[in-house]
Formats: sequence, structure tokens, C-alpha cells
Amino acid sequence: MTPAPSRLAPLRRPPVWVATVVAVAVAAWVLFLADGTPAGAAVDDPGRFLVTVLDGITFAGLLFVAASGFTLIFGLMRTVNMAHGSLFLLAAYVAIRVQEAMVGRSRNLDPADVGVLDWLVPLLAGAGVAAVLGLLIQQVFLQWNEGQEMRQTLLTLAITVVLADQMLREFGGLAQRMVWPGGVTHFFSVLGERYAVTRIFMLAIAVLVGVLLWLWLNRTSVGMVIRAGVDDRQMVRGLGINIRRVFALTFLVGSFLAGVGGVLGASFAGAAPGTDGNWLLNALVVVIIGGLGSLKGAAAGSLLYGTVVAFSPAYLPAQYSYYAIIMTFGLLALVLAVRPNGLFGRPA
Amino acid sequence: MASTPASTPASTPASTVEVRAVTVAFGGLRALRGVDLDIARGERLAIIGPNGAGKTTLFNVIAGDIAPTTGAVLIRGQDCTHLPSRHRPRLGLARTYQKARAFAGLTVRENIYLALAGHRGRHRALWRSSADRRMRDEAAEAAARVWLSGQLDAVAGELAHGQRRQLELAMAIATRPDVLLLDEPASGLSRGERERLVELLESLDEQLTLLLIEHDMDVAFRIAGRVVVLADGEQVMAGSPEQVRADPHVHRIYLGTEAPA
Repeated sequence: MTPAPSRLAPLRRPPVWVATVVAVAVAAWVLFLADGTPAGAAVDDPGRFLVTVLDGITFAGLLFVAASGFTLIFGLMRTVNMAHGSLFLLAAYVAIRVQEAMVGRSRNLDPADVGVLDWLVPLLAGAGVAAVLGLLIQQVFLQWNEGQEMRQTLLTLAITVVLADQMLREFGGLAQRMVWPGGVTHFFSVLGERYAVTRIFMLAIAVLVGVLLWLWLNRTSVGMVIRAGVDDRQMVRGLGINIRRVFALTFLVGSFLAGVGGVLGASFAGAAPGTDGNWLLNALVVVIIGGLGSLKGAAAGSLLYGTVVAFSPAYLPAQYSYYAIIMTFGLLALVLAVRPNGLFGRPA
Repeated sequence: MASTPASTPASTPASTVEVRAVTVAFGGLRALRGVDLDIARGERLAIIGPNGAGKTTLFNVIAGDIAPTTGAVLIRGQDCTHLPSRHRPRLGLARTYQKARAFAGLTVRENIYLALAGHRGRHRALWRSSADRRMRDEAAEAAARVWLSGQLDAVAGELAHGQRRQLELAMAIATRPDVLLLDEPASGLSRGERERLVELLESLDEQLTLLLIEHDMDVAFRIAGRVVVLADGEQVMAGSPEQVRADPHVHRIYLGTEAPA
């Protein structure tokens, strides 16, 4: 080992080179070379490029909301909450029902009939139900098994199966949709392309959630206890703090966030059996990229994942766009090769 | 006086901490075998002994991190043998750990706030900002006592080892405890830092009861008014630093050499 400039030393690792080369190659491809793809090279069609960027960022917003609760719970309690997707879907269904009741019609809601409150109240109702159910799961099943990750994982997995069946019975097997408030159901144009205001609205809510979460964690006493608990739970106890209560609160907030994600997701893409599993997977991918337990990681992971999801179908050669989904796992492999604990993760 | 067998003094209200016939068994291993200790208010007691003697286990029993298999622990006359550790700070107990365990992701200030919050149950205030003026002043004062005033906003994980130990001390003394348990506070410290540690410990309030596990005999003997020697989970002897230093038996089992000429 040479005592040469230590800040450069990590760069000598091959995965970093590979990641750098891949990033440069992808950028060159998208900017100049991507003829014959659905979107075309960015220099030829900047409008389409901008729309793809916006798609990535707005989808990242939804990903962040869904993943932040998941990573919050994991960070403090080391519980991999497999029921996160179920809470997501349950909140979506509940919100759809409440919205239908508020608008007074049960199918084919017209956005023009949906006021902001007709969207906001169902959101809070759905997320509230998810929060309460999450708290119940934690109180009834998980708090007795603290520190036993495998048991907790299996318990929450079992709950997922039960909930999926019960939701199928109660809400049926057809895809349903939450309707955005009429006020944001518009389009605006960028560089000659039309873009949906609803997606920007979704991003705004995600940013709001992120800011509130950050303030809560960094500016309140409880947030301080949670951050300390991420470091060392036993020490927090030794200081005389009732960390069990903080665990319960964290589960409540994490499940609420799953619910908010579910309602956003239902407005964005609908809710159906299977949505729960998909979104558990999405949340998992985001936090594995970003690093389990890190809020910053959830944000960065969402952006990366969202970008890849938006760009792959648009910028793969037309006959290969079927394989866009594989790019996600390419991203996962690349990130883990460079940083095995995720971008902002710490060794467990 | 040769090695005194452990005696069980009658409990008096003056005792701050009483340990009565405490035994701790981890499976087949008996870490403590019937230890009795009676610590008076304001006493400075050092616990020494070879590795595996049960020193830290004894601390864990007093701090409530381990429940004794048999025996009892009384703090200020109150039986708290089975009181969970999180309730003990409110009895006026504070401890540090053998390995520095300040929260690496938090700033020095936040670490001290947490100690204060745990002491008072403040963390329940959900939405208020993390500290009021009084807490801020107390944190600044505690940091000043361990020479960390300039590092209040530094992240604990980025402090040097010695500074992290100082921070742990600040967390412990910030709550103005009646009983302070320090597990090897001098380990890993430089010579100069040890001097400052001794200076700090000597400056503590006279009413404070101090229990110290220490491998550095120099530090232990300078601070302590009484030294208890543990070996194989039993009290081998107790006495003044001079008595312990001069005792040939202690030298044999602990220091591994004969008594100095």
C-alpha cells in the first residue's frame, strides 16, 4: 500500500471505473447517438428528452413517498416490513371508496366533479387507516419479537398474504382508480410537448412529504431520539428513554407514509390485486440502491430508479424496448458493485 | 491487614448503592458469585480486577442492563433489582460504557440533549423543537466541563477517540446524577488526556457517588477512596488504595508480579 493521496484511492477500484464508464456511455448515447429509439437523440428532440426527465423525477416522487416509510421503520427497528405494500394498497382502496362516497358516484368519476377536498380527505382517510393498521401490526405481533428479524419478516409476510385475500374479497379483482382533483387535471406545454399537471402535483406532494419528514427527524426531540436509535438502541434505553413508544410512533408514521404513497399511486396508476407486491418490490429496490435506513438514500435511490424507469423504454432501440425492465436490475447490480451497502447505507 | 474476606455490612440509609449477595450466571458460566457492596454517599470507589473478573457485569447489574440471577440491588434504599435500565436515570444514576457509545450520527450538542431528555422524559414533546433555553445552557455547560465547548456542533462520529470519551462523560454528568458509573474511562486516552480526566473527576461534586472500573492503576488509585478487587466473580479484597497497592495477594492474582520492594 502506498501512502499516496488517499482521497483518490477508492477510485482505483474497478467497479467505480465501470460505473463511471457506464454513466458516460449512457449519457453519450442519450444525448447524441440514440437514433432509432422511440425518443430519438436528445440533441435532435430536446422536448422529448425534457419530458422523459420530468417523467423520471415525478415518478421518483411517488417512489420516495412509498420508500421513505419503509426505510424509516427499517432504520430504527431493523424490521423489514413486508406488509408495506399491503398497507399501500389498502390505503388506496379505502381512499377510492371514500372518494366515491364523497362525490356520490361509484364509477366513471369526472375530474371536474372532484374538488381538492374530495381528494385530500380520502387521502388522509386511507393513509390514516394504513397508519392504524400498521400500528396494530407492530403492537400485536412485532414488539414481542424485537431483534428477531427473521421472525418479524415472516410475520409481516404472513400478514401480507392474509390482507391480500381479504382485500380481494372486499374490493374485488378489478383495477380501480382514484381521481385527481379537477383543479390539477390540466396539461401545460414544454418545448412543444404536453405535460400533465397531475404529475407535477404528485411531485410537489412528495417534496412536501420529504421536507416535513426531514424537519421532523432533524428539528424535534422525537426525531433526535429516532436518529439516535438508528445508531444504538440499547444506549438510548440506557439514557432513560422509553424507546418502545418511539418504535410504535415510527411504525405509525411509516405506515401512514405507505398509505400516502398508496393513494398517490392509485391516483397515478390505479389500484388492483398485485399492486401491493409491486410496490413492496419498488420500495425494496429504492432502499437497496439508496441504503437501508437512510432518508437521504431513499431520495437518491428514488431519483436514480425513477430516471432509469423513465429512460429505458424511451431510449432503448425500438426493437429492444421490451427489455426496459431489465435495466432496473442493471442499475441495482451496478450500485451494489460500487457500494455494497447502497449509496448512503452503513454496514448493519 | 491481609486480604479481607467480603463482609456484609448492615444496610444503612447512608448507603447510596447496596449490592446484596448478587450472583449472575450466563448458562453455566458464573460471572458473579455472591458479591456484596455497600457504597456510601459521596464515596469514590474503584473496582479493579483481571479481565473476566466480572467488573462490567457488576456494573450492568447496578445499571439494570442485566438482572441478577440471585441477590438484590438497592439504590438509595429502594429495591430496584428488577427495575429496567431505562427507569434508572430518574433515580439519579448515570453510566458510561467500556466502548465509547456516543451516537455517531448526532452532534455533540444533540448527544447531550438526549441524555438530558432521557433524564426528564422530555422526548415526549413531539412537535416542539429539540431544546429549550435551559437545556441549551445545561448542554453548553456540560460540554465546557469536558473541554468540548468548541465542538458543540461537531458530529460525534467525527470526533477523535479521546473526545468521544469526553463527550460520554459530558452526557453522564449533564444530568447531575447522584451515582455515576464509569467503565474504564481512561482506556485509549493519551497521557495528557488522562491527566485531564483525573482533574475532571476530582472536580466532581462531593456529594456525588462515583463507581469506577479502571485498568489504569494510576488513575484508579488517585481518584478512589476505596478499592475493591474482583477476581473470578468474587470480591477478593477491599481497602484503601495504599492497602490494595501493598497487598501481595492482589499483586499475585491481578498484577501478576510480587509486591514492590
